Amino acid sequence: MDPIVRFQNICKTYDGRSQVVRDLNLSVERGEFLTLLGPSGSGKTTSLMMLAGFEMPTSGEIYLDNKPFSGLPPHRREIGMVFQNYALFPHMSVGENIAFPLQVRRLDRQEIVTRVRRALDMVQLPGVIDRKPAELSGGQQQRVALARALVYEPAIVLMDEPLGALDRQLREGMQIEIKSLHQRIGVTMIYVTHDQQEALTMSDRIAVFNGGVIEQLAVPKTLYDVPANAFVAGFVGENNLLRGRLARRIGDEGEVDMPGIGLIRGRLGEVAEGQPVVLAIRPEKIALGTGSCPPGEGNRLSGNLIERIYLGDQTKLTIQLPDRQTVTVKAGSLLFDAAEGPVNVSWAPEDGIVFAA
Amino acid sequence: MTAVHADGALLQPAEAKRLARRLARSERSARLSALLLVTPLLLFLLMVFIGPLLMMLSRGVRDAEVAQALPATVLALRNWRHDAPIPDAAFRALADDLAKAHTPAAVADAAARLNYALPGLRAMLMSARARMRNLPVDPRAFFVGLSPRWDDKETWSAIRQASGPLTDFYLLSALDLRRSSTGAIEAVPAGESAFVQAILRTFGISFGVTALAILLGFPFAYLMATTGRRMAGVMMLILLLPFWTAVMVRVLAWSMLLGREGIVNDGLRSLGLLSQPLDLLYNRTAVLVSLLHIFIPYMVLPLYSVMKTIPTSQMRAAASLGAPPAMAFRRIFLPQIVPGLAAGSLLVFIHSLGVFVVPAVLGGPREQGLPVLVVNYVTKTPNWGLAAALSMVLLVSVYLLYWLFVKLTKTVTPSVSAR
Repeated sequence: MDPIVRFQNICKTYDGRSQVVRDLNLSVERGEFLTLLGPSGSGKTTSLMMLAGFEMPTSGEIYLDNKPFSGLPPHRREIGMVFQNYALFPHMSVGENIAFPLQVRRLDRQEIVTRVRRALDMVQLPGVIDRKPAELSGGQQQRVALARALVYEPAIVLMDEPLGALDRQLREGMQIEIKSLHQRIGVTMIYVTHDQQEALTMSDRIAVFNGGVIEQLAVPKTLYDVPANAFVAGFVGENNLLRGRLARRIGDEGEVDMPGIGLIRGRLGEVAEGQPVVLAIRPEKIALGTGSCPPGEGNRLSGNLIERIYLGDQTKLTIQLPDRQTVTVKAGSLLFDAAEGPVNVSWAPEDGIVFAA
Repeated sequence: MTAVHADGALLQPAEAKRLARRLARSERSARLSALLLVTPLLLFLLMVFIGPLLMMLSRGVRDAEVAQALPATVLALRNWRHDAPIPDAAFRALADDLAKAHTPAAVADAAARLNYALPGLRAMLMSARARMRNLPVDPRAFFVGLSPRWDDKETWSAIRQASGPLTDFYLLSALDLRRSSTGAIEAVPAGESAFVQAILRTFGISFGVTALAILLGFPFAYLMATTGRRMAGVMMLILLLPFWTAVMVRVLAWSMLLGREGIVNDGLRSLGLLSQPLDLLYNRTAVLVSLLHIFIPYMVLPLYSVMKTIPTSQMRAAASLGAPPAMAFRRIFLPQIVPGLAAGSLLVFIHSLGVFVVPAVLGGPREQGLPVLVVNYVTKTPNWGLAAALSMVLLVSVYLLYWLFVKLTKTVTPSVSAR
């Protein structure tokens, strides 16, 4: 099936000196939930704004259903959009807000009333139709904004960090709701966030932005388990990034030489021998051994336990290695009682990935 | 998701009463300290503004001069009705009163007051007092002998209507109305007075200034609110620079610019564009231009501050929902800035209503509005009663406008930026 949206060689610069988006090529599949994930200033929001029509690409073209799109003014793009601060119209009631896109499209009154009610039911917010946005809580306002962006049944809905202003509990609830809404109505959603946890929870696919380019575009599991480079490894989920030099390649594995520690084995990314590298290892993949308790198989390191953080369901331990680099280990909360001092850590070679530094 | 509410537990009645007492005590002390903070300013305003203002305005409805100078006459006329013949008692009482007035000054105020109502009455009264050596045997014959108008019921009506203690005479005059000798309210003959015209002129000029201020101020404020910070700063400076110069200085500057020998005329003539100087001064245009120049910040600043509260995302949202720019402007932007527009208009309109210097210096006779008349009646031809009544008209219209403003802005909810 053809992609619904295609960015082709899109570049964007504001000042003519630095590029916010660099030669972006991205296809959005019909009906998918695609998240643009990245730190602030990585070009994800700018890309979204170009799709919505609020920013013009400096060069390149955006296609909708294989038709060039960037000449069209925003109000004729038929794209729904949910803004970070909701952008509800404060002088209109909730009902009037949701009816607005329908009135613009000159639907008849009865149809508008029916659709507004249905939209409010869809976001599970009946009974607020006559209230003003300011009388609603943040979460309720977000639902109204969502209903307003969906009520005229656009093929694509864009969301620009829509949950950023909500507290954590509410945010997690809304993530599930938006996701199930997406599955129910089958609209294409493009979602911008800097929260990798949110991206992992909601998305069909995630595009990780950094410095105006896409570092990796993949399904959440691949992104987490097989990051394409050191940036993705560090940005998506927690990771220990240990610096060293690639000493030797052994098939699809390599040995990283870390002065003062020795040789550590890991899966190889695209790196040449002798190059400085980063070895990424997830905190939850590391096993901890204390005192006489023997460490596991694979890579074995010794160090000093210097910090323990109690997280309730888990304990986060910081271990300093002989070369003063630190590794973070996530373990069961029982290990909170581990005494500070010499410890051993170990992990399986295939859990660590070696990237060019 | 679970929300944990900490509901206040219900208290026992006695405990609740104690709590309420404690609350009342703490609120009382907070109120007291708040009152202490505003007291100095309150006293100051009471002494130098509110007090004098009320005293001045009260002159517009007080009528004490005649009752003070001619107490017996006032008493004699109390039960007289216009359709009855003039009672002999009134002539006798007036003769009594005038005989008791040993100096002209004793009846001067009353004579002046009566002259407002009936021109010529001052001279009649003063000359009657001057000839009153001893009480005449037949007062009626004495007065009518001095002037046949003493036999006129209108003369006595005027005295009776001026006998106080309160009067609507000045207020009616301010609206070009008067009481006829029968006591009914009627319009003054055309050409005799022109206060209504002056009122309308004042409102007309203020309305013009306000309309022009909206026309010029709206786009300026819009650009200032939507452009970058540096540009907005420069625009703000341009707007406020004239604001830091005294009004008088600016008005004189305008008169130097626009005079027949002024810079504009000289410049145009030296360029050969004019042979005869243009009459730029002493007309409506000069007054409007100057007032606009003085008051435009009062329009731009409230507009700007309201426009600034409307986030760009709202206009973007309107566009993404399918509204073309003109529709987004009309349905989203405009309704939200009504409070700013109303506040700006109110400020410009009210300030223009009360301005004295500009029309006095730059306007011709046809630009002289109420404030100029008020100043006239206080300084040049003293008639404080009329000055007070005209001020009252001005004040009441300002409050009516304010009331309208409150009504108007209440229908629109103040813009609350949704966070």
